[in-house]
Amino acid sequence: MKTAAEYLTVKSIAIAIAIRAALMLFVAAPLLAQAQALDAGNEDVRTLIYPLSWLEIGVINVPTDSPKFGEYNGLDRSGAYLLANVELRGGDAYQQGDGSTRWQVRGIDLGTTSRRLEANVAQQGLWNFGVHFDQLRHYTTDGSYQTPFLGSPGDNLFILPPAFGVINTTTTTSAGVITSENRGAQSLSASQLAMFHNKNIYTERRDTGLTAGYHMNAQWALQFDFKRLGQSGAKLIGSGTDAYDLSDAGGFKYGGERIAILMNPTEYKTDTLNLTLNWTGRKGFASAGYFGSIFHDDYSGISWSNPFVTGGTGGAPNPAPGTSPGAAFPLSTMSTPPGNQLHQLNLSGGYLFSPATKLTGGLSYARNTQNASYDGTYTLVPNTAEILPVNSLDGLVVMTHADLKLTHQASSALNFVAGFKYNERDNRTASHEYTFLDLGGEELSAVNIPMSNKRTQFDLGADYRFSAHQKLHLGYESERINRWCNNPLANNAQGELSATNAGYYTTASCVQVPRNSENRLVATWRASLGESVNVNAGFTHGRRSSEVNRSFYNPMQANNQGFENYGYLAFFDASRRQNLFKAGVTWQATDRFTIGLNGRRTNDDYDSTLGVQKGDTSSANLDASFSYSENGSVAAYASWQRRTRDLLSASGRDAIVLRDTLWSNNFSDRDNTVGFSGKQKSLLGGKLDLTEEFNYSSGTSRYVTNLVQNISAAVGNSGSSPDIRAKTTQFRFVGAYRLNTASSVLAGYLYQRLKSSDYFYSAYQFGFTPTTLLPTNQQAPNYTVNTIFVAYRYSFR
Amino acid sequence: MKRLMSIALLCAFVAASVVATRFAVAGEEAAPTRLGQDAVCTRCHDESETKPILAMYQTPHGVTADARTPSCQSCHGESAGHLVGDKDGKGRPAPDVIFGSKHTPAGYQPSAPLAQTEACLSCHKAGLRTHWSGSQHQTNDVVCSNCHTVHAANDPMLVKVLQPGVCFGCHKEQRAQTHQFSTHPLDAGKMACSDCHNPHGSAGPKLLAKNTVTETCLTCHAEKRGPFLWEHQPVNEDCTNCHTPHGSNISPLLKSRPPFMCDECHDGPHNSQAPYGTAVGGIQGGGALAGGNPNSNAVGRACMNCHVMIHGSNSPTGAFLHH
Amino acid sequence: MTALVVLGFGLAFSAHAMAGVDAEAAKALARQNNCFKCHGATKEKDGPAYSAVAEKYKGKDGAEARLIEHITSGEKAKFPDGHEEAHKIVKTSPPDDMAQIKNLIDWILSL
Repeated sequence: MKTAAEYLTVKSIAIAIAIRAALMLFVAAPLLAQAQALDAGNEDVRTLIYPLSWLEIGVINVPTDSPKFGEYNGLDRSGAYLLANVELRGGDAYQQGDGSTRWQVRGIDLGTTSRRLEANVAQQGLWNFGVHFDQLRHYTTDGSYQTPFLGSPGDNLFILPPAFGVINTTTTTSAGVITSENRGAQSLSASQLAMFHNKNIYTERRDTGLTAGYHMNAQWALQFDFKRLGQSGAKLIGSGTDAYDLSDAGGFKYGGERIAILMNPTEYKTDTLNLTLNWTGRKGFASAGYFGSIFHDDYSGISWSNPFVTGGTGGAPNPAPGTSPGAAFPLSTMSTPPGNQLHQLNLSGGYLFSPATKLTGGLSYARNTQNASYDGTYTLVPNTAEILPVNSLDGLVVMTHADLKLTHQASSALNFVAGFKYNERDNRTASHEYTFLDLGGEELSAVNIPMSNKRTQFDLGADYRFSAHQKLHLGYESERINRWCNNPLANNAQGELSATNAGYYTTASCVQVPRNSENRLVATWRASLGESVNVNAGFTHGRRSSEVNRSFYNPMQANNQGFENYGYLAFFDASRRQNLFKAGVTWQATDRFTIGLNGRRTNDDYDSTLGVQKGDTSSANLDASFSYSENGSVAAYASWQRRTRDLLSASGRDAIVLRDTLWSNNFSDRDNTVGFSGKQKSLLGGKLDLTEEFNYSSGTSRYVTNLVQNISAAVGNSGSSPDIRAKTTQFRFVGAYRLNTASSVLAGYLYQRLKSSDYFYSAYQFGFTPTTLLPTNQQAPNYTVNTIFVAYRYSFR
Repeated sequence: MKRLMSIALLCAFVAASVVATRFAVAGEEAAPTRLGQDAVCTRCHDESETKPILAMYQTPHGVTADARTPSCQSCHGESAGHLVGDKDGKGRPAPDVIFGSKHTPAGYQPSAPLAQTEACLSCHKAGLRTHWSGSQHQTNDVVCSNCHTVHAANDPMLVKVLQPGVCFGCHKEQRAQTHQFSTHPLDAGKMACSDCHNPHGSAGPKLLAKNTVTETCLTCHAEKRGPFLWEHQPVNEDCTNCHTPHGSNISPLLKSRPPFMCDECHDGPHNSQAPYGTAVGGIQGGGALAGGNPNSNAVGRACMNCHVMIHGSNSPTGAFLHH
Repeated sequence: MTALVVLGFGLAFSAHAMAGVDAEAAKALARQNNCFKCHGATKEKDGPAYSAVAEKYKGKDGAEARLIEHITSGEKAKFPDGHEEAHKIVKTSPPDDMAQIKNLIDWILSL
């Protein structure tokens, strides 16, 4: 005898088969005396079945300048902005007759730099076509960045006028303390300070695209879309350059690292194409497609004037600070991202052996190439690329992916899943040895190390339904990661070592952890207790092990620092045990009131002697919602999140033997968020709708360093960083008043306040920078903005 | 006058549908119109419903001229018992398929998740739904109508500015993170969850739209793709080694910041072996040497004051990611 | 902030103002109790249209009382195909609020 659950499952499977057939099947029903189609004459029916088109015009007033407030919404400067939103719909499909054409035009925020405009038209079941334009200006500073360089965001050449004068960074120190008058960038002359001016930094995206689709018949369809993403503007970036010694008889003599914060141009174009052929059969379906992404950077590098010199003594620097460099400052150059291409072929599909057994799978093959010339990516005077074996990378990465998943509903209560995934990034780029002048003027040679990796995953899962109200899921996942380099030059690259570390290189190099293997067990339980309470709980336990290469050569160093200390492993490939707990309960106390609580905790324990030791995250969330009437509801939530990370490191360098000079660092991040929202409809005789929303978010992050053993205390080498704090308060209130069926007036108030403090900016303040770092005087973003908007909406059908 | 017109229209419709009914019952060729089929249900469930069920006619499901679109009974089942009514005094039987996770106002319990999802998957099984079976949402008994509202003029899931609000109904951590200091433009309405995720199931981790984390991020941030002459290993493998995409207190969307973030993978080269405590706060934070020279390896961008090409460098002089 | 003041306590008027009958409340009560599933305002479904009911009881004494009895007692109602079911008992919130029931009946009779 079938149980209720079984009956339902069998019935549901039967329904699935019947649905396709039911489309054209007439369901015998009692003779209906008044069977009728939609009564389009009825006003209530009209408002339901005919689409609403509307236009909104208004103005929003922003009384405060704040690029951080306008970060994504374009309201960065005080003033009035045009509010324009539109949605138009039409097409004969809405007449419920023979027509199947629907079209739509939608525009959002047309008066700001965050505008979007899209239009599409389709003859449903036959073809569709659409175009869109989306603009987003992202303000990445709060407007307080100052620079003496001439040039605008989006340029790649930043010149200091010779009148700016040199910055002599020669200082005299005694026992680690600066004793001389000359403080380099920390004490710029009055005329140098006068040349600093503000620049508002933003990077802007303009996305233009079209989509088109065509149904050849019921089974075959073709879909195409193309998107051009054009980016302009800049993002701030550090830059290292050398101080040069003008007094050297041989010309420039470089040494040391001097820093200026520059406007790195983001003048990019990314073209994305998708062409897919879809087949849908009765039991199977498949999709074959091409995905292409072509990235182009307008520049190959960024150049800037180098005002930093050394020479003389701290008390009597030579040349004196502020002296003209002559005709011009020398230029330093670094690279910007090279143009690259990705071409990918994709195949995916599925087959339903039966309503209970399904197989899905996919294959992907992609080639990612990059062959931008090295011209313009390095300083020319002096020529820092001393030996260039080739003039471009000719890089090739082949990425392959395969996945397969089988699900089987063994009975109404038992369900199985088995899956396999494979992802490989095979870097086939050649290695060469490059000899170059690095920061500090040192001549070095390095071999480029193109890295490859692959990830193989298996998972098995079973779901058992005890009843309609209780379910248990058990799963096992395994993951293997392999890392390697494809060419012998990369595998055998070795740096020079000091005597302490002689004998370090014993095996092939390239990556520190050539193999990771992880196994995870997952258990989740869900249940309904009675009619109104739902609970769920879950637990995951994972163990990852690493196979470590004991003579790993870090490709970023070509000198005697090319390795990590003995016993140290990077966290992302270290052995670890991971536990995850989660639980939640939702109680629908009445038809109108629901309350829910859920929480989560993860513990990561790393087995490495040195490196990240532990990482924990905890979160708890409380939610409640209450619909006090047909026309009103309120909701509130509170979220609490914590994250910590413990790190143990050694000072000094020893690749062979564990060092005994140890220090630790603890990171903690605490985030609390609360919010409230409400909606009231049809007040004042059905004419007024109100919505309110309030959010408050507070985040605090802090680092604490302790000297664990055998490290003498020195100024600044232990203790707590100042807190990184950000508190955002946001309140939105919008009302819409219906003047008549076609017109409404909308008005709203938005209050937003950010209070933030971050020690990050301490480094860049005039007079407080390191002597070798050019200030920017950037401040932590803080703002209080009250905005009001008024708009008129006209709607029609 | 309006009422007379209504009555006249009523008669016309009645006549038409009675004719249609007659033909079908007699088993002749004329197929019933889609509206006639719907009328089986819309006779009672009409414009007076609290939920705007007739608004479905504005959506692609309601384009009656498209032969693929469903009638009420295609999704809700034939529901013969419900049509017949309360014959035995125990209440009107429920329709065959009830969607949702809560009981209806009339007290009907929702159908089993499999029954609910099969109603939609029978047509929508391909494309984005390819990997639905065995996916995270499916295993957790999430059904289509938990997210999608088909009986409405606009499904919030398909409107970029409204979509995150639906996802936040369950994903509370991410909701809190969108209010943090550094975020993707979700709160601003310029991005939606589906720009990175495919909630219907995917071949990638954590329901990402593409096969891997890096592939997903690089669709918009292609300047980080390379391959570069000098690579940075954590960048090749997984952007989330350093970044957290939903929101962070540390700009730009970082889990941690230099020098400490770099110290999580490096201990040996250059200053990665040196401890910094109050030094990171500069002179103002009390960490400078007496005489006031903050250490540029510790303050501000720290390591990244000089090691700026953190995602990789294509300059022949950039082996240390300086250029 | 002026906008908020304008949107404040303005006019409140009802389109169907009729002495004593709160049409919106009546319709809300009817929707909560699923009345419209069987009775259209002007449309006949399984049950008679309310306009037909109003027509039938126009000018009759005791019409209000009769109808209140009909919707609160659970008495049998006849369907077009002949079978009978107990008529749904209208529930109010708070329970047994006769004023709301009376308002509903008065609205039906006014159609």
